[in-house]
Amino acid sequence: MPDYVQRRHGRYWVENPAHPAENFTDKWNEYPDRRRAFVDWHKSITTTLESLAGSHGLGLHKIVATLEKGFPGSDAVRASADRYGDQIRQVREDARLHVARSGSLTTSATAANLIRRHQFYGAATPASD
Amino acid sequence: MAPPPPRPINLGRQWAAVRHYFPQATGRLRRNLLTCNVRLQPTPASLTYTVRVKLPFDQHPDVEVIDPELELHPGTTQLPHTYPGDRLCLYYRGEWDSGRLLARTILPWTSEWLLHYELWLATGIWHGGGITHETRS
Repeated sequence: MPDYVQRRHGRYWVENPAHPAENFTDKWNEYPDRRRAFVDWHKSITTTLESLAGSHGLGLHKIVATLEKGFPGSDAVRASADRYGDQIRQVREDARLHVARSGSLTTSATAANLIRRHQFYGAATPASD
Repeated sequence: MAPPPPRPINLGRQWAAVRHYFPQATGRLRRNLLTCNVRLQPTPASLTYTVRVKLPFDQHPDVEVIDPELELHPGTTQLPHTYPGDRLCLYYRGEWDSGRLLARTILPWTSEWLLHYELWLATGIWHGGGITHETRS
């Protein structure tokens, strides 16, 4: 992404492809803090995405932790995890959840078998912190 | 008049079904006990778990995760929906009997438990639903 930032006559310039005369980064030249904020954000998101790519097969909890680190102060990641868990439960209750030979859960019946209805039993769900 | 009790499936047939549905399973059948280890990965992003199921003939199965070691969500002291010894509680009474195949019930339910376990590790909330009892002996 930084490759798209040009220098024209000593000024930062990102051309609007629809209006070549327009510079998306004109304010960077007046307010250097804005450019620094962008560079910091870009480094951070790059680190997050690289970390995510390396999280494949390490657990959903690692994915959630990586995303929460990348978007501090946001409840969106936690809310997405909650929603995903609720959706999985709902499709099982609707008898639409299947399991493949790897144990992978899917809503597709191709090469997978329907999960029969059941309810988890046992100790009360422990309190969260 | 109560329905007749289910006819228990013999362990040889149980084991054959496990290998059919989960070809990577390993195990052994000795006398009246089937022990099998099955690797389960509930989603592509998930860890791959090795689960050990022990099934004595005409009894209930014992299910535990032997690898990797299960963790607790920060601030909690026990795993959700488990019996003492971290055996998984996968069904309510009447939902399983020895006339049902492990491969079509216990193992898929275990994979589902593992998915909800990973989300619980992340959020501290169990989204898998179920029935809880008050105390744990």
